[in-house]
Amino acid sequence: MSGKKIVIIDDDPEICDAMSEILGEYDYQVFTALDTRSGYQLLLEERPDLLILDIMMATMHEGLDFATKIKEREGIYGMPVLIVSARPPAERGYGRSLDEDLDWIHADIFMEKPVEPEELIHNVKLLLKD
Amino acid sequence: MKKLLVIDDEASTRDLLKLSLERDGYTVFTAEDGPTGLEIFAKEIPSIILTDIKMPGMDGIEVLRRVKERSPDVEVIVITGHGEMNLAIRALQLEASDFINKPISDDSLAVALRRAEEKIWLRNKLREYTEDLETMVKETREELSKRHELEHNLIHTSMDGIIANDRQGNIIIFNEGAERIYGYTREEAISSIHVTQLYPEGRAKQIKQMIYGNEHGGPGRLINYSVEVLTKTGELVPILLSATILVDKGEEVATVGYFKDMREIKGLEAELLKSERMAAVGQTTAGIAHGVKNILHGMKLGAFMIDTGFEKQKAESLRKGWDLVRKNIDRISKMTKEMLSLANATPPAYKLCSLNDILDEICQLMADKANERGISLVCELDHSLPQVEVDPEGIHTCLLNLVTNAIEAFPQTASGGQVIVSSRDEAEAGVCLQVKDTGVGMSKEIRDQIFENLFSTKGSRGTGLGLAITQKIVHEHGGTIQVESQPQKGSSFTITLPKEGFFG
Repeated sequence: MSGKKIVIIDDDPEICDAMSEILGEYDYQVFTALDTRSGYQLLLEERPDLLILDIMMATMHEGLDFATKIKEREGIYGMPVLIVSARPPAERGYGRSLDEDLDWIHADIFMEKPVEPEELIHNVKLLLKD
Repeated sequence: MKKLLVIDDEASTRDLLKLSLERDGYTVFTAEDGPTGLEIFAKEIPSIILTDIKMPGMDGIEVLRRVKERSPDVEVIVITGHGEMNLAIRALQLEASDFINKPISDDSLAVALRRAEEKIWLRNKLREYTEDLETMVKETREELSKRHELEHNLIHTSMDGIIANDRQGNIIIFNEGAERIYGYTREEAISSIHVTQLYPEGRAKQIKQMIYGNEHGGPGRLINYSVEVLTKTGELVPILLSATILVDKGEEVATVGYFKDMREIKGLEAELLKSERMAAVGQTTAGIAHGVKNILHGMKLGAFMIDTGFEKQKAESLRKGWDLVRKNIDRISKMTKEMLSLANATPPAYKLCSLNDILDEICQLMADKANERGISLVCELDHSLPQVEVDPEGIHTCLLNLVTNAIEAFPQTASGGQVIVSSRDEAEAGVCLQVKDTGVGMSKEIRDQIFENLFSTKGSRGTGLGLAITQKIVHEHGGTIQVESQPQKGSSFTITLPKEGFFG
């Protein structure tokens, strides 16, 4: 296995811990941040191979804007972004198919909560080409 | 120029008169006998005729009679000979304007002519006046009838019901709008309905008192009063009623009521309420689903860690996984409890108690959690605070929510923050309970949403129900909750409760 770096931004510290634990089992180096500001700092410092971003209900737009910013900076072939969200259905774009939503959600993979950990690991491997 | 006809059998008289009258400015026609005179009259229509009385064939009296028969407005002056007073009188009876005696003097002719002229002038004036008057009367009548018609139409085509009754309560006006509301025809209402029959029993009298009274728009007036009226079929129809007393020469003559049919509006209101409720249900359901998804997410990760723990015989994974599962079990039970509390599953029990005691309890309860995060929790109580009638459980819930939020308003990693819980006697305004923090604060956008159900800034850690419940409980106590907040500076929540208690 690779020792590739993953940054997780999630406002729930317990989820951060659990994800680190789970992904750590696969020899990934996991760094976590509880908000986008410190998360961005972490991205600059660690130059990770993947970003896992949780989009919260209250700061939904903040999360999406953040993803957009990162994708714009990285370009399409740059660092992949995996978004995890509980998807409140009233939000913009939701309710259509995921394929269409991906046009404006700047993520390489979008996963809806509750996420199956096996599937998460599968997607992480996919994005990291492991 | 005025036309004048002279009829005389004596040529000398005719010539003389013609000469003299032409000098006076008349156009003069002459005839030597009655029939010729009448012929010229018919053709020229002179305004004045001078005719001799004594003429062979048709005499002057006959000429006068025939002229007057045809044109009563023509002035006829008869010329009489000496001793013909009877004929003169007869001529005057036949409406001759004057008579002059032969031999004709200039003076008497001038006087007679002037009189004839005056009569013509007067008659013309009178005719003008009469005509004017008739036109005026006609115009006025038309105007009146137009206005009456307009008023009639205004009353009868008004969408609102308009009903007027006299002092005895007999219906005198009952328009189409009233027909639509009541189901009585206008004829039925006017011939056989008393005003009291338009309302449920006893209501008409109350309404009458309200019209006379001062409270609903001043004496003699009632403005937009909600009332139910009784229709022909016995149905009760919601109405917005305005009424006024009509006074004529200082005396009350009638009462007019304007009836706005509220059935459709009430129906729309009910529909709106229903759709709002449906939308609220949808929103609530979506919010709950969101909360549940977040909790399930944690549980799945926890379960996965437990599986891994078993597989790889790692106690650490087992412990962490189980911890996560258990925390999420707590979350879902908290969420369930809060939802039930919001749905009013347990009715509040009010009793006189000390709010300071409740605040004290909260501070003790939360001390550990504050310590854990390096936050100092300060309790500043006003010991003169009177006992207040509240639901202690409810107020406990409110303050616990506020203090929990305050402690969570600091970044996980930060320390040195402060949360101040205080009470204050605000005299008339009531008692104030305040929870203030020096935490992250809120933007206006977030502040505007915090009391909404299922709104949370805590991601999966919050249910989004805490502040909604707090506000609900405070409102149930007849109190208010106010929030002040500045990003990066902190927030303060102030609950103000009435001293007398909401129910006493």
